[in-house]
Amino acid sequence: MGAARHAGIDPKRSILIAVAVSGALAGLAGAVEIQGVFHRLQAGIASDFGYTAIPIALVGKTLPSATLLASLFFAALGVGATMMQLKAAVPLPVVILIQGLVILAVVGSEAFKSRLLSLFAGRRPSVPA
Amino acid sequence: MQQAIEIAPWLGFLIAAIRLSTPLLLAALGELIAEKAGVLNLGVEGMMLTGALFGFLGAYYTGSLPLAWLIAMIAAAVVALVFCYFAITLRCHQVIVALGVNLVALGLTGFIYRSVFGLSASAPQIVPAEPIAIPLLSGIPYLGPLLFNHTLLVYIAFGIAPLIWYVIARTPMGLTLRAVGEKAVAADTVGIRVNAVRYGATIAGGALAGLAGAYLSTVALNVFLEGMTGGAGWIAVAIVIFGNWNALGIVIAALTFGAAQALQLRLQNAGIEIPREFLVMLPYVLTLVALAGVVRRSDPPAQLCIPYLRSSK
Repeated sequence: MGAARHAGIDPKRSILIAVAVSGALAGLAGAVEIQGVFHRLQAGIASDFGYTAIPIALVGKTLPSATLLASLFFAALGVGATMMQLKAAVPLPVVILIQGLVILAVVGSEAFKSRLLSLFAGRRPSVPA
Repeated sequence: MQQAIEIAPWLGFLIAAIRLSTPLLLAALGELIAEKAGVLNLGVEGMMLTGALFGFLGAYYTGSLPLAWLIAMIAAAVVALVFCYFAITLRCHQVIVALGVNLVALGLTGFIYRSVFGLSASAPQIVPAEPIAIPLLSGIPYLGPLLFNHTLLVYIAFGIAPLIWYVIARTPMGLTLRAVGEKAVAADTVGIRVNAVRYGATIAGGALAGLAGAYLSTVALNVFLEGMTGGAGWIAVAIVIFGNWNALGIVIAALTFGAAQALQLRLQNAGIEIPREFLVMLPYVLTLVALAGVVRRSDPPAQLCIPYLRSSK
């Protein structure tokens, strides 16, 4: 932040703009859900979406291109969950459980990988921060 | 006698406020301990849910509520341990780990409950906790029913709050905890095992969240429902902020949130023309106001949500 300020960028202004754009995009997502999927307004329609979006952004390593792939992955997971319920009668809790495990596996993957690598290299594990 | 009947509604409201704030207070105190050590444990919701299920199972199979509460605390502590492994040992992003843990807890508790009881029309029930009237004190007019005729967990919740304040503010143990949360490097240089303290704080806090969950399934209700915490864990996180990371402030914050919930139920019953959404919103608005520093400066632990890595070169 100090470097940015030195280069003549106003950090507070940038943060405000970024968060406002972020909120606008979230609003767009909500509008698309109502206009394209549900066709009617009801309370709590996007309750899970916001919380799922956070891990998606992180899984995408805050790169827009990778975030696109990550959101496709999570969307497939969601659709697959519905299909599993319909076709194989897998109860909803199991589906939720799998989604949670996927998030944990993905978020831990970097750390797991470097631990595994250092195991082969015979060194103490060192995880990049 | 006639006066007592006349007074009853507002007294009933205050009693309800205390009862509704108890699970929030327990969970918020647990969250406080973790946050003081620099761990932002947003997995409270999942830990509460785990406590709710295992508290219910414990009461169902052992018939003993204290034993059930112990089981609930242990189960939630295990969930906290998993959270710690990812958030502290692997240094993954604490917010993401928490979201994952919450989903796992929501799914796993639902799965276990269905595996044990199936999907029967009539939900299995337990005998919920009875209020314990404290001799003599509960006989005081107004004050007696208000403060001295509650279930055991209410006394425990409001009893440990000053204790936790004292331990954090006035003991070497609390100093260690705060040092880890404020400046982990400094704590490390004086020989404090930063990650061990964080593990301990988060697991202890998780156990309290479990107790809060057990309150929902064995005291407030006598059944377990999938996802029954319904966002109480998130409110607990808000309470810690509103209470400005101080155990005594958290008591006041929890009572405020409990009162808002009690008010919401009562206004709905009384048919008063305030949309209930506004009352649901009220505690969160208060939290935002508190965070924005309108009343006073918000004072979170300096290294909240920052994993510790000793540069060992």
